[in-house]
Amino acid sequence: MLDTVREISTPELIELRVHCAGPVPRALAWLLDTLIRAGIFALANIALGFVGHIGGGIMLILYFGLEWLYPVFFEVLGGGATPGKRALGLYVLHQDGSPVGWGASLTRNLLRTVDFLPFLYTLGLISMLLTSEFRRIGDLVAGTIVAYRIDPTPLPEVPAAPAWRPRIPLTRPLQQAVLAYAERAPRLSPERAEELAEIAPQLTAGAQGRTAVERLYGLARVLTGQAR
Amino acid sequence: MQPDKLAVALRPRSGFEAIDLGLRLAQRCARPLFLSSLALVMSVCALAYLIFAVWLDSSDLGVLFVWWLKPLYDRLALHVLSRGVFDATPGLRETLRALPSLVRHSGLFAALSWQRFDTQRALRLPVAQLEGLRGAPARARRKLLSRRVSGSGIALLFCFVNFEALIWFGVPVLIAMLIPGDIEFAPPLLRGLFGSSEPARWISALWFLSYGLAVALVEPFYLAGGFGLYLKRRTDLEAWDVELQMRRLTLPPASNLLLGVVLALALTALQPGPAMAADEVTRRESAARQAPTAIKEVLARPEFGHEESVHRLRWKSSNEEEKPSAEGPIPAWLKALFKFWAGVGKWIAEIWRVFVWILLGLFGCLALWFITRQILRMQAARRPALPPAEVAGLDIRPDSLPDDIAAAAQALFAQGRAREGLALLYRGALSRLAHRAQIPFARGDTEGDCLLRVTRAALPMRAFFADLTHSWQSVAYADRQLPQDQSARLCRGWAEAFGALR
Repeated sequence: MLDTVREISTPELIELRVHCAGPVPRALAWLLDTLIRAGIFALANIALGFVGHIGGGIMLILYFGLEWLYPVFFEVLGGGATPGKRALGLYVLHQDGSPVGWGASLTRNLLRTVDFLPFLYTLGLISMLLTSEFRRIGDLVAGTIVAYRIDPTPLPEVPAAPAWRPRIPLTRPLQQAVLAYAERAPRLSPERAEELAEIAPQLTAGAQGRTAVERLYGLARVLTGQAR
Repeated sequence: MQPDKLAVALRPRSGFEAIDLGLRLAQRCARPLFLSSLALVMSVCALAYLIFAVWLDSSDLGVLFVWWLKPLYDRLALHVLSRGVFDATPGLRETLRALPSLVRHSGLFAALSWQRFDTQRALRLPVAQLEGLRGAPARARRKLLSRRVSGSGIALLFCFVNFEALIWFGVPVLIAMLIPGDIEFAPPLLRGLFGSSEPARWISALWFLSYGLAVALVEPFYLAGGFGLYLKRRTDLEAWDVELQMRRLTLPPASNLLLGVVLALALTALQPGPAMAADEVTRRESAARQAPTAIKEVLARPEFGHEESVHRLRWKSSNEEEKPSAEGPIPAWLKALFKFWAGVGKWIAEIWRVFVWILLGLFGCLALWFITRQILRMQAARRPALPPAEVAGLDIRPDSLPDDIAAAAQALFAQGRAREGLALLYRGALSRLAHRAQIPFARGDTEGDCLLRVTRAALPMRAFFADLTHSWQSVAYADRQLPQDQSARLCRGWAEAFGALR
């Protein structure tokens, strides 16, 4: 099955799913970061213009820091995300799923020099389009990936329906399927919702049409604790 | 539409994740996708170059023409992707053969005229090409499809416009950077890009070619991203993932039942009879005969070790003489400075070396001292402690006592100094017990404590010692007279009990 997810199993046999992020959100995050940095630099420029030669020196140091340390600082201390990445819902992590550290972050950001070649990250773009997890050269060398931060989804708000319990054992995948249905069905057309509910007759005791939908809702309410 | 035949994982995705899935799909069917795209775009480019650059002498118009025809290339890419999504990627020839029907039946005219500036082109193309809708229903469908993803669609377009420009200009410049400086390539190339004068013909041809390549290689990715968004919208609108989940869950019980029935039938038919048992024996024998060769075959498989040759780059050992630097002569004063500092460096290094040796020596001595101290301590701990000089207020040092204690005590008793005689006997007993029998008396022990220690040690003279102690206590503390026969018995008893303890 084709997907953009990197599956990592920890030594404790816990399966982690990391959703790798592609060039489009990453380019936008970079653009945002560049604008932020340019803004800081411009403001500092105006302020330091009054100081004279020392101001010029400080400005160069500031430029150095913004260019090389800005991403490292935010990636390591800001939960893996620069402000731009945060705005786009992205974060950096090691390819084994652990939070990114100083070494990897410095490596991937120093290698921006290579990815930037010959201008505006042409090489990085090519690398991202060629690798399956959308990694630029800095990511490949540092062993990092950029992924979407997936927030845990709250329990679905299930439409009101009388509680219903089928007479078959409810395995975990079965429960998940019922919850997924209850979450999605209110936004489907009524015909499609009924058609879907009729796929699983053993869950609804062979009910048809609207009754089947109601019974699945009722089951979902039981599963989420909204009904007894 | 059969969601269960899809080769992509179905789950709720954000718009960006849907775009990423499209890009992964493009990577998966890269071969037919990019080969067909290159074939089509390059032939259009050749045509455009001949018409516009050679005949009309305006290569900019040629670029515009190639750009304008992008919806045509999109249709070919979508043809490949829409089959690749079911894991049925067509071959190159098959794809190109589909081109004429795509031109006729996918609303190309509208796409090239009033829909050319549609910002959601890639997302909406499947409506015309895959769903085959036209007119009002198509308009409604397009609106529905782009309802929640129009932001992602515009972001996709914005990014890919820039990506295309990056590849168009970046790749030739990258190549130019890798060409040695004495070949004049990069400057005219850049002048052709930014210069005001009319560039040479080969330069404009190069930029034209570069644009064609950029379109051929980037446009399919753009379309794939849009197709990803289309798949997301269909999945959201029709809950394909839920349908798939439900179908998978409801299938197993039925198939298990079927399997059970089949197995039961098969098992009743295959009840082993006597003939089959004999067959079983011969089969086992033949398997045993073939075992050595079978084992060899298994071991020859790559899982059990194989050779592989690995090539990697390594530094050549640099024994060659350093060549004189081509940077020009270094001034003499700089050389003198270097030499001076090199000399100073050597001195500092020597001083440090001596210092470190001294430090190491000190450490060695320290370690030796520490170890000997530990050893001495351990020995001291093992040796029994010397008995104290005084117990219960009595001097028990052997040299404070006469050699024949029993005889000396006897003499004292004879003189009527019974108290002193008994004291001597008791003292002597304690001394012998402490020094010879190693009873660990402490300085502050009372007579009772001493008796307790002797009792614990379970010595044979314990009974006599108890008798002696009681006699001593009654004489010394209670000031009683010792009976006449008692003193003689004590002296005899002492000689018996402690005479051997010398």
